[in-house]
Amino acid sequence: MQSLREMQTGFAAAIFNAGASSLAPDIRADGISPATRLGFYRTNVFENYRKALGLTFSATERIVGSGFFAALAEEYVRSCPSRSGDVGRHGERFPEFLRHHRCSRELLYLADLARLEWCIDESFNEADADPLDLQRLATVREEHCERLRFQLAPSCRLLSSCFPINRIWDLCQPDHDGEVNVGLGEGVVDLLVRRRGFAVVVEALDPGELAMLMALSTGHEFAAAYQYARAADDSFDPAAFLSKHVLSRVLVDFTLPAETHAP
Amino acid sequence: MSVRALEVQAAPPSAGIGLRAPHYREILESPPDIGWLEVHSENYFGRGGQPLHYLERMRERYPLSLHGVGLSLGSADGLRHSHLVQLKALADRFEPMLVSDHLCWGAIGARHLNDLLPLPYTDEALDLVCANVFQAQDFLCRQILVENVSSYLQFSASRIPEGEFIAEVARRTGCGLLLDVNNIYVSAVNHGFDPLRYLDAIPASAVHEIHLAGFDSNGICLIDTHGKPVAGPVWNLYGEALSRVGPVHTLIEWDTDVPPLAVLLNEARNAQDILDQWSVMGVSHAIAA
Repeated sequence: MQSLREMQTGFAAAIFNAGASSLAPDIRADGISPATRLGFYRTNVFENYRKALGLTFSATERIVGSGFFAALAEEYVRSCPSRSGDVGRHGERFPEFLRHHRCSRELLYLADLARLEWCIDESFNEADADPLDLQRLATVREEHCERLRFQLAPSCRLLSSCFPINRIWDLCQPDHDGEVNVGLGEGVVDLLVRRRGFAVVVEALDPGELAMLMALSTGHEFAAAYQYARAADDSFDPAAFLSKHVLSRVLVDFTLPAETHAP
Repeated sequence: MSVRALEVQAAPPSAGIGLRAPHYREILESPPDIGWLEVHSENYFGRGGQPLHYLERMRERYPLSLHGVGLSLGSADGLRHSHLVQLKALADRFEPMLVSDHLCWGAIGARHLNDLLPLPYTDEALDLVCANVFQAQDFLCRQILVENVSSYLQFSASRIPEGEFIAEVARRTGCGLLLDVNNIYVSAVNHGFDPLRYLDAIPASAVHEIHLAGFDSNGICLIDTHGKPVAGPVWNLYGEALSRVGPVHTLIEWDTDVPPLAVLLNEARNAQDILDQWSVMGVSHAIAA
């Protein structure tokens, strides 16, 4: 007699291999073939994943069509099994899966569009943050300002693409009523995805802003981050950057190295 | 124990509804007269944002039940620690009156199947489920409720009727039971067993919640879709359940093709009317005795 682990392993194998129903534990027929009974579960499992992915990647689904999207969802779960009891996490590797999928040879922007949608999903559920304490910032001595390490709000995600994925995403929204043509050759876009209140917004960044935010998000001090920003844009204005991103609550906290603290 | 937790423990049995995102605003703008709300725990595993904000505001007005679909109490590999950690954080924050999950499995090895899959009802599975329920209750520092699922197949290895199996889980672990009357009906039709005999096996004192929902047919089997009103035979079986276990918190579940809030509330009112009848009968019997 099979152990419970063997039964569950066989059942899972039979779910994901339609031709391998014989791997499933012995199922009572009772007038309906075991393969048919197993098929009810197979349908449910794949439908659950298709629905969950469709909620997160609605623009991607709109681009490829619901039928092809369902096939992609099925192929994805076979090659990248879910690793969480929370089905909402299942899409984490979907953009990378698409990047290597044959459909990306024609739809060059598809993986980046999916990456944008995953960032939007993550941002929606990220931790809330209080605005930066301006009074505390005002107490930082001038000679220590270049040592400041700013923290981005938890909901912030930074990404770049060779394609105008933000405009493609806009185009795919059910309430879109603007321009319907997007040129894929419009050039690189640098994007900040973040939450404003409870709504997720996607904002285009200048190259200097992206470099600065990327450097700050990886723990660089303000002066070092500024060097990256200047390399990307020699007209980068750090004061304007700070004012914009503190007031818009992108930068929500800061620290200073211990040696700069007043004795 | 906090005042909020005491308050919900004392709540008389009443009808509640599953909270779904399309109804957030309507419920907050004109709070309906319902006893409590239930949410899918995993939908609130995020770290912040709108879902948790709305849940906080709902919790200020209503007792809450956290109903999970991902604990996988029947997995031969045991429970996933990370899932328990997230569930405990949610339960500690919202102090729900009930925390529940299903008598099923949904993960094996490194793979999750994210579905409510059937167990073979064997002695080995019974020991395993009990160990997992013990672990969950120890970790969460509270009783959980275990719910029977709809099923579309039975394993040849099964030796214990499902009703007796879940009753034994409750007896051994001290967990409560969430009796899904729709699931009993669906499985009874699909497998040809007597739902009343199923109910007879259930220890009345262990039942702390009942679920009611709608099902569909695929032409071969009944499928537990939660996408329709509660069917007539399920209402009848609900009455049979209450006659055995007495009035308990009852939830209207609706997960697919979610209708206007008014439809859910109407279903909840029907359940409340039946609950009220059984409450009055209980008092009458007590006086007569």
